Amino acid sequence: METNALFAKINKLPEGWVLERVRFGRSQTASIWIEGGKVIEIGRFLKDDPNFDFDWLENVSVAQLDRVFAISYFLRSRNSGHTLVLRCSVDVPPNKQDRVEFFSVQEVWEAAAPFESEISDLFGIVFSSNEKSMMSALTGEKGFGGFPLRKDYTAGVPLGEDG
Amino acid sequence: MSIQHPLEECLKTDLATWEIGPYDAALPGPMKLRLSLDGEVVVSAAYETGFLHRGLEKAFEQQPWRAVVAYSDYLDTDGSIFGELAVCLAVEEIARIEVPRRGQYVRVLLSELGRISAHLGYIVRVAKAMNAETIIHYVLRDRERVLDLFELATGARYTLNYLRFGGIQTDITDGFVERVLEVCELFRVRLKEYNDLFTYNHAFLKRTQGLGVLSADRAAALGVTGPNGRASGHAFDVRKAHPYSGYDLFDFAVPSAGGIERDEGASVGDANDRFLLRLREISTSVDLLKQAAEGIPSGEFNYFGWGEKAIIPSGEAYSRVETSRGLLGCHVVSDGGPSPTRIQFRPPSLAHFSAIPELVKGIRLEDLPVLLATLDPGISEADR
Repeated sequence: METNALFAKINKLPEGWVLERVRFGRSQTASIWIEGGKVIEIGRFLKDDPNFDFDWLENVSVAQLDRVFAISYFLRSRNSGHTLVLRCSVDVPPNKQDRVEFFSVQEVWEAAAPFESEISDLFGIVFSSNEKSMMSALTGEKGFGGFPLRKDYTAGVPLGEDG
Repeated sequence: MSIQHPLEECLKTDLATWEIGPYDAALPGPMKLRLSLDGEVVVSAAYETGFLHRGLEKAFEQQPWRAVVAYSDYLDTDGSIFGELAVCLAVEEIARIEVPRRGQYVRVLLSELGRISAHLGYIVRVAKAMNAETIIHYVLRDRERVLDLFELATGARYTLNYLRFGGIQTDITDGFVERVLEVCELFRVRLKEYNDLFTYNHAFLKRTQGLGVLSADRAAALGVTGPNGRASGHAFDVRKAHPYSGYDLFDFAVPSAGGIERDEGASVGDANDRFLLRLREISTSVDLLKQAAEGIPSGEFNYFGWGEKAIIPSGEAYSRVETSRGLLGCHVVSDGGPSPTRIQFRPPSLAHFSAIPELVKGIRLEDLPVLLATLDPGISEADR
């Protein structure tokens, strides 16, 4: 499936699902921006619909861009080998010690578990079904004194001492 | 009135919990494993990592672009070349840098040498878990030959810091290609030796066959890639699926579980398959090395001339590299500034750790070190 053919299929998705469709960076990979609240619904459709068949979640990456966390789900179809980047965003909370809640996609792609666990520890994004962090007590909010991959993180300052 | 068997009464025990780690010879590195045991049989397990977290991804954001390659060596020192390559590929896509053909061939040479070196390290770890002393000495002796080649080309034996955006740091030393070809011939002989010494050893077969079976579907669902995934029949290899550095120019077959002869009814994706697959991958790497060494073109080895500096514009890219452990993804975001906005790695070992709880269920405690050694999750890259 070429990128244009994939975009043609994406165009047929229900209205309101896709906020923007663009190529990912300078690559030929398609990417779509969606509303965060619909990530499970859209993810399940992209996995189960035979036209898409994105049954493998290869990676989950978060980048803080100004006051927004951009969450990227790198999807792949095992059968066809096609790839898609599913993207959504969530606001960075005003206080750096505050966590922000987001939707877990573990019920759609089981492989999301270790990525969500890491993101929870390092960015303070709590995924709804992530029961327990897999990382140790040395990391995470308690060990780092904050969420180290946020841009406002100050190393070595425990929470509460600098606001 | 029922009569209770005397043994039944004395063997009745509750489940015991046992925590191993963070430092234990049975573990692949600093981590904790919480086991629930019924006698000597593992009923359930949970793992905890993070003890080796070095803040590598945060460090990238605080360093200039030129330091990125050097830092990426520390993602996984068993195969430092792969971290370097993943970062370089992503940055080169953002900056539209085309690596000259000679630079690409040298990258392939070093990647395959890195794969052989890492797989030899793997054999040593498995042998150690089995208390098989002899093979360890043979394998380490041969790995020195590979490390010598790294030293000859780059000046370093482990953390190479050799790739650069646009190619490689300096051209390979005279005689390097000839010595690569010598090592290729050496390994063709050595593989047979390893098999005679270890692979077909009765004790090794008994302890690994049927141990820790991972099906292809479970491997795919958990995202297990690389030799572990292919040993289960999840036949995915980045070198074929998304060829990089000119891998599409080489003629090679990726070994997978389908090609292994096995007894009727034997499981696919057990500890023995994972070991065998690495041996077959060494053979594939030797084929690739031979082709790359014989076909290496002359000419420029870096897109930039001496003293020229890469300017990284704003943009983002995602690269994929097939490491000795599986799919390494690298998401790089740049805002056009002097440092990366974000560099995120998708290390293959994250998924391998996820597989541990279901693989250890039902195994005996004495088999745990063997299972972990054959699965070989890399704590360095998972914690990073």
